[in-house]
Amino acid sequence: MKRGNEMSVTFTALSENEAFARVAVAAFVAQLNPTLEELNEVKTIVSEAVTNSIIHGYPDLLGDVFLRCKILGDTMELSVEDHGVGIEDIETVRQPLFTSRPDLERSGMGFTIMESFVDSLEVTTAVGEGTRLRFVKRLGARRVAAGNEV
Amino acid sequence: MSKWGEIPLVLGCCRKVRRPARTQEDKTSDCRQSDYGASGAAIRGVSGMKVKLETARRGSVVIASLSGELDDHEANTVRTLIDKELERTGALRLIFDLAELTFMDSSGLGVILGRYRNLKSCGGEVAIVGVPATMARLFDISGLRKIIVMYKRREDALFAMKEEA
Repeated sequence: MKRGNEMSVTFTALSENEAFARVAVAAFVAQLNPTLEELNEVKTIVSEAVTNSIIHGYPDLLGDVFLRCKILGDTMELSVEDHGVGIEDIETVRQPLFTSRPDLERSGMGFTIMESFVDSLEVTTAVGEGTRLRFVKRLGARRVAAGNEV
Repeated sequence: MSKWGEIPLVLGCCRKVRRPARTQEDKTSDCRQSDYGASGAAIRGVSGMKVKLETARRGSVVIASLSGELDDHEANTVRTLIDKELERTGALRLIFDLAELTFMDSSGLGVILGRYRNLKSCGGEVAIVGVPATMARLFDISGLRKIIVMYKRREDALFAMKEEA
């Protein structure tokens, strides 16, 4: 099997690292020659996933967030993992507008946005053990068919 | 029917409503005179943040111009500053100018939606101007476009709100 080009970053689950995480992934996938829009989508996915880990994964404790990104052909595989509290009911969490923290005045659109911006999203979670989000997204491919993407 | 229309107003009662619309001539108020006039914008930049917020006042409208990156880390500061400005001016109408924003995620949507709910419950209104092309989809997917009016330019929003640009 062909080995992809990989990178991984581990950082403390602090909100000031959200920007760092976005930039790190965006810089890595830039070699796929993504469109500006795609690059922005990648940044948004990273931001949403990392923010979830920081706010919901580690609500009262400070842990690490593990970011892995792999390039295979024109496809990006991204995994964002935390070893936090995990998600009890993933189906509810994935619903648009759902938020477990209305006090934070968040939009509840994180999962919906992530799902819309990638080709596939897989969630692995266990209460007390943590959560891992795996994204797959093709990049640079829409350059040709620009103008009418869905 | 918009998705957001079904959300109950969970944020509680609106803040104390003062006189909603002070006019340009009304200078007897507690607001400093410099808040008014063509170029007399009350601008308070916030340095040291990845996001920068400038607020200006046109009649009874507060314009919040954002530049840089608005994420979860910055959302709280932006929210607090805008609320303070609304509180200070008693304005019930707010325009978000996003033209200079380079990044935003759902945390930013939360900030906009929160101000919309608060002001709406007081009979106010919110408009958005200058959504960058890269963020257009964010507003489509979230359904925000269906409930908050968007304009290309700030002047258009002010005109719609019947304030002099």
